[in-house]
Amino acid sequence: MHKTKHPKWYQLDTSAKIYPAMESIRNPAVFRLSMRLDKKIDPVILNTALEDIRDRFPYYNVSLKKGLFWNYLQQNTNPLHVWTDSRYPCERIYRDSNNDYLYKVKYYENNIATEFFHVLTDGFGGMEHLKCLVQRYLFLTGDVKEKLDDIIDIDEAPDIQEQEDAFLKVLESEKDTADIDKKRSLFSNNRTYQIKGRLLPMGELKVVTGIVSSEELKKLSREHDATITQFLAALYVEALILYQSHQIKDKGNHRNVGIQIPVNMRKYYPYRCMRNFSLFVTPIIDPREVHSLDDIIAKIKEFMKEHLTLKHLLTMVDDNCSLAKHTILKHVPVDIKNFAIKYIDKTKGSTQFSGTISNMGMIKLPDSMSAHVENVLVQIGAKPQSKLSCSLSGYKDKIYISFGRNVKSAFIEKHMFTSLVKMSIKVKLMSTS
Amino acid sequence: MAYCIKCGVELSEYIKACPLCETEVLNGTENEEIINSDYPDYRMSPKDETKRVKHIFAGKILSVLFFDYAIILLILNILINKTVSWSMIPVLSLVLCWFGVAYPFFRKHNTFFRLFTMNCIAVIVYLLSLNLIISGDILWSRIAGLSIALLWVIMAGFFIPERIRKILPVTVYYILSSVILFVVITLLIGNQLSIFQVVLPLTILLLVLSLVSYFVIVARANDFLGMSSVILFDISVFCLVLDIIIVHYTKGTYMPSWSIIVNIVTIPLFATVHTIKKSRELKSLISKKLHR
Repeated sequence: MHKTKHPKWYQLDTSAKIYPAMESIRNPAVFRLSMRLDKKIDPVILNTALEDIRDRFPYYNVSLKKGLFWNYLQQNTNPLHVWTDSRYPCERIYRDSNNDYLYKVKYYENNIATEFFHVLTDGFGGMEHLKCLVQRYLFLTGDVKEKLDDIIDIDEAPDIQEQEDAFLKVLESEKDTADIDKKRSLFSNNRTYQIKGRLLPMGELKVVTGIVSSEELKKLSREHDATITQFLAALYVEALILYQSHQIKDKGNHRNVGIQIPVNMRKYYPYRCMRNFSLFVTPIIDPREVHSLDDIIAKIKEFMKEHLTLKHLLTMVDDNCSLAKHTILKHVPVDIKNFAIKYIDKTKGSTQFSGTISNMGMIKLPDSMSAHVENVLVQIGAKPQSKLSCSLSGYKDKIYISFGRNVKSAFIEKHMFTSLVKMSIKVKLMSTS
Repeated sequence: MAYCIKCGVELSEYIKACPLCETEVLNGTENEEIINSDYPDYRMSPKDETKRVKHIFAGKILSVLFFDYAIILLILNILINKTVSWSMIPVLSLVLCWFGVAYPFFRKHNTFFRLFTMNCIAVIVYLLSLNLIISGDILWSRIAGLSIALLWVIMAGFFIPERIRKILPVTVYYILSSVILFVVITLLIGNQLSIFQVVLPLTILLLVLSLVSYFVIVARANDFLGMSSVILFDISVFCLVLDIIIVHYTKGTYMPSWSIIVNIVTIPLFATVHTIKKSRELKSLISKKLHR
């Protein structure tokens, strides 16, 4: 691609504004999506496929630049290369060695993986990009003959809505009918339980993926009167409560357990946004108030029912935009802002939850494509505070439960998978790190 | 098919130990193909990052350059005149240039307002020193210094948040500034100047300039570059008229003196800002870097 005299540039979306400040080797803010194909990957064809789709996703082929008040994204015309995959998923993306790009496309054996710095997009945008890449790859290898309906067409021009900041659009469209709860605080003062343990060497992430039958898991969740996310989140909380009592003997010192659950806002607001458009809800469970898994499920269900309302979501959107909208703060130089964001994240933000569980939902691919795709995996990185993250993806008749941790102990995964085994769910484990 | 005897989970073919409890898999398959399905053990490390260009190096180079010139000028002056006389003027100019060009390289976090403040202080000190060296007093330079201080006050107004600006509009801010100037000039040189011949025309000039600038900014130049060019134009005109009024009152002529120096600084700056405003590429760069 030739260098242009006037490179296009984009403002960071409202959620992305905090990631450059928070990014570090310990907290790379990177997520990974991968697909396993039925054939060994040809890197030359993969690189061609990547080049073919790059113009369709101009908002991903950018580099991060620093302005006076905010960072921004600028069109990047450097060559784009694919990488051989390694044992270290969700590693920090070093821009200088990646031609200034903020995402990587990796391959190994039959796997194609993309790793995105969260400043570009969330899981939805990343998955659409990966689907398009794999479709183009299969088209070039001759496995898929025609254009597929559910995949982004690379011959179409990018829709303006794809690159817009959907959070601001929501606030703008709802400003007349806004029902925002003003009596709220962005962070609560209660610190939640954080897993204790020595961190793995910098940049390492131990990943364990459990494969379970979606039908069996759905049935089990129904028996507990919960959705799959609620059920697995409850198991996760149960494991965290047990681990807390294992690590902290004095019950008086036990803290609440919080679990961060990302919410795809596209389900509630019909924006075709390809940048960040997700928020989090964080059910907080007091270990002293729950005595069984069903108690935890009930608490989570109650919390979700209360918080996944349009009023509350709008309040969350408003909170999310508070930094970008604040008259004084938005005029503070970016370096001062970054320093403050980093400090607030360490002292307030990351202490609000003990773990993260992210459900990408069922990934549907067109028939001619799914015949060549064996699995679809999602992995989010771990933070030095919460130390563990769980991501779920459904594909065909399977659900893939991936854990990424930066501590040695596998207590949480072990509890979750062995609990499922005890509940007569067949679990098959795979490890990629 | 392999299972972990402790956890009861099924394990993928290539796994040699259970990832949950690290129990080794008994009778695990160990053919070549399966071992190869382990991911390669390589990783990026911070050392792979190319070292960033150290701006401080550029600052050092410029400092050495300015310092060398200053030393050469001083030596020349001493050799020719056996004393330090005329060389102080270019040396002071070099010091001013150092503040404007080299100093920002030594700062890790530069902000527009901080640099502007530093440069204002440097220019005031420069003008006062220049006046002191040339005439042995600070007669004209205190007025120029005052003007620059006023400019700083005006610029500081633009950094006031929008919410407060709604209560205190730019026009009011300008009127307040002119009143402050009126009071300060009267306090400084009140006995020598007539209120009607000097201070009143100055206040009217300031008000007219403020109002015209305000409406030009609102109508045509409501961006950063537009505002900067209007402000620079205002400084030029204000200093020139101020100088003429004072010279006319004290000497009875219309020949400006110190305002020429101020205009030597502001006119090239105005030209630069105007060029940037007209140049698409530069404008795009400024809008990217300063977007809010």
